Amino acid sequence: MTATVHMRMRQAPGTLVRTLGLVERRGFRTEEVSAFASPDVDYLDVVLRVSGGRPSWMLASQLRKLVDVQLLEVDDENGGP
Amino acid sequence: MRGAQYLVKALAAEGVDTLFGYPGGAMLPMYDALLDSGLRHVLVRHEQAAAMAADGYARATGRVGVCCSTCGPGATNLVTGIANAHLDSIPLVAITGQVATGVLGTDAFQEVDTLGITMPVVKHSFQVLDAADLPSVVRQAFSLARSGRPGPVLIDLPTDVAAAEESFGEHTPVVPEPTPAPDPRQLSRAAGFLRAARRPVILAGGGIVLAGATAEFRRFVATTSIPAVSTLKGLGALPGDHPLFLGMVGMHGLAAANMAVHECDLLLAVGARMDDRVAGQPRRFAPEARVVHLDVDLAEVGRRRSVDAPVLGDLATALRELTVPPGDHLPWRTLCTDRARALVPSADDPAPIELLQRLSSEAPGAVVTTDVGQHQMWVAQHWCVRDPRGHLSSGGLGAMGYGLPAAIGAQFGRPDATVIAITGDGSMMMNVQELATMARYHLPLKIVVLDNHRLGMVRQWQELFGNRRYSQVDLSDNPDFTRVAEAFGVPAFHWTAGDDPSRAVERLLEPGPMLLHVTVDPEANVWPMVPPGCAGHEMLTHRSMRGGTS
Repeated sequence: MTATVHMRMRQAPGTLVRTLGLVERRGFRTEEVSAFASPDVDYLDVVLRVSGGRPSWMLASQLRKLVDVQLLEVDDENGGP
Repeated sequence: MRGAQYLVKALAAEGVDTLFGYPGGAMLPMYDALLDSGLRHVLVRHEQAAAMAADGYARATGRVGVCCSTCGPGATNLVTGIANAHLDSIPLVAITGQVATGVLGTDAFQEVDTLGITMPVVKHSFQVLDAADLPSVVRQAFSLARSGRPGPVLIDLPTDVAAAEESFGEHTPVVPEPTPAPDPRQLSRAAGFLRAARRPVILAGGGIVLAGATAEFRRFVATTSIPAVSTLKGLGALPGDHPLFLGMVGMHGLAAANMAVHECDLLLAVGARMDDRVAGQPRRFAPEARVVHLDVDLAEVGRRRSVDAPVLGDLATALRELTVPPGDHLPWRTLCTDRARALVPSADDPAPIELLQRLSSEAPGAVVTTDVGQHQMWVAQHWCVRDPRGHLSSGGLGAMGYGLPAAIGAQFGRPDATVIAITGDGSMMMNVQELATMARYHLPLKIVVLDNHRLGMVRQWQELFGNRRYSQVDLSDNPDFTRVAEAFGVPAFHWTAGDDPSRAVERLLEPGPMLLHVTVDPEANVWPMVPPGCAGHEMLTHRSMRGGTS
C-alpha cells in the first residue's frame, strides 16, 4: 500500500513529531514529508507519502484520533478505501 | 495569581479532590499552591505508584485520576503508569514539572523531553509555555481524558510558567458533549445478524464499564438470553455468578468460554478490542461466526478480527437501541451453560485456589486489584466479580507492580469499600515501598501475596515452550514478606496448605490493614492455557499435559 495523506494540523508543541511518530509506530513507512506553516501560524499543513503492508484506512483511523488534526484526506494509490 | 495557584483551583473546579504525587524542584510552585488548595495530596514513595494509584482511583470511581511529579526522573518514573492507563483507556491527567522555559533544550538539571517520551502513551499532551494558556489547557485535558475512548493526558508545566503572575478568571470546565449515537442503519444491520443467529455469544469488554453502559448491557443480556464471555477488563460487566456468564475468554480463559467462542455463529463484541491475548490468531478466532462489533473507537473496528457489522458510537445508546427479541437458541444456551458448570479449571496446587474462592465468597462487595502473572489469571478465573468497578488489573500493559498502588488509589476513591490487593512475590517487590504509603494514611487494605518463589508465568512458559530451560525465574531468596510488612507497620501472617482457610479469611477481613502471605507450589501452572498461535479450543489443561485431552 502506498498513500498520500493530506492533513491540516493545529500548530502546537510536538504536533509534527506526534504525527510522524504515530505513522512509524503503527507500522507504516514515511516516504516523503512536507509541512507548511500557514501565514497566521495557527495551522500546519502536512503532506505525507506513506507505504506499508497494512491498509491505509488503518492509518487514517489512527491519525483522525490526533487531537491536533483538523482535516484529513487519504489518497490510496492502490485504490483502497 | 500565580499559574500554579490557578492550576490547583482549576483542578478543584474540574471535580478533583485527591491527587497522587511526589514533589521536586521544578514543582515547588505547585506544591506551595497545594498547601492552600483544600485538595488532598497523597504522597507516594515512587512516582510510578502515583500514576498507578491515580489509575486505581479512576477505575474504582469512574472519575479522572490525577497524578503529578517533578521533571526528569520524576517524569520518567511516571511513564509506566501513564502507559498502563493508555493501554487500558483509563481517564488520567498527569502533571509534570519542567525546567524553566529559558533553559528548555539546554540539558538543564533534571531536564528530559517529557512531551517526547510520553507521546506514544498518551491520548494527548500539552506543554504550557505561557501561563495565560492554563485555563484552556486544563479544560481540554480533563475533557479529553474523560470523553470518547478515555485515556491519559499529560500537562508539562515549566517551573517559571507555574510561578508566573497572571490575571485569571474563574475556571469553568468544559460541558461534556454526549458521545455520538450509532447510525440507525448500522444498528439495523447488526440486529438482523443477531436475529438470524442460532449460536450467538456476547464478548464483553472493558469498554462497557468505561462507557457507563453496565446497566444497559445487563438489561440486553437479560432480554436476549445470549450467553456471554468476557475479556480480562470486561470482568464485572456481568456478575460473575450470572447464569449466562461463561467466564473469561482467551489465553487463560475458561474452557467453556473459549469453546463457545470457537463454535458460535455470531459474536457480538461489546467494547472489546479482541487483542492477541483474547483472539490469538484472528483468523482462527470465532472462525464460524459473523462478528458484530459495538465500539466507540473506529480504529479498533476490524483492526485484528474482521467485522461484518460495525456499530460505532455510544455503547449505552447502542445497547438500548439494538432491539432483538429473545432468540430461539435454547439448545445452544443449554450446551454453553452446562459446559460452564462442568468444565472447572484444574489446579496443580488446589489449596491457594480454594483460599481465593473462599475469600471471594466472604468478601462479595470487595474491590480486588491484582498484579500481573499467574495470580492475576487465577483471580480472573476464580474470583466472582460482581461489581463492574470491582476488578482492577493491568490488562494491556501487563505491568507488574500495579496491584498495591492501584489498591491505594481505589481505597482513597472508595473509603468504605473492602479493598483487597492480590499479588505475587515477583510483583510485590516491584512497588513494595508503597507499604509505607498504606501505613502513613492508615489504609485498611488487605494484601494477599501468593508466593511461589518464582516468576511463575515466565517459568510456566519456559516449562511448556522452552524445553524446561529455566532462566532467571528463581526468586527463592525472597525476603520474609510478613516481616517486611511488619517493618512498615502493617500486620501480617502466613498461611500454607493444611492451615484452616476459614480462619485465615476471617482474620484477613478483620477491620484494619493486613498482609496474608500464602505459600504456593513453585511448579504450579495456570490451566487451561491456549498456546500462542492456537485457536481457543486448542487448550492445554492439567489433564492434557499428562496425556489426556481437554
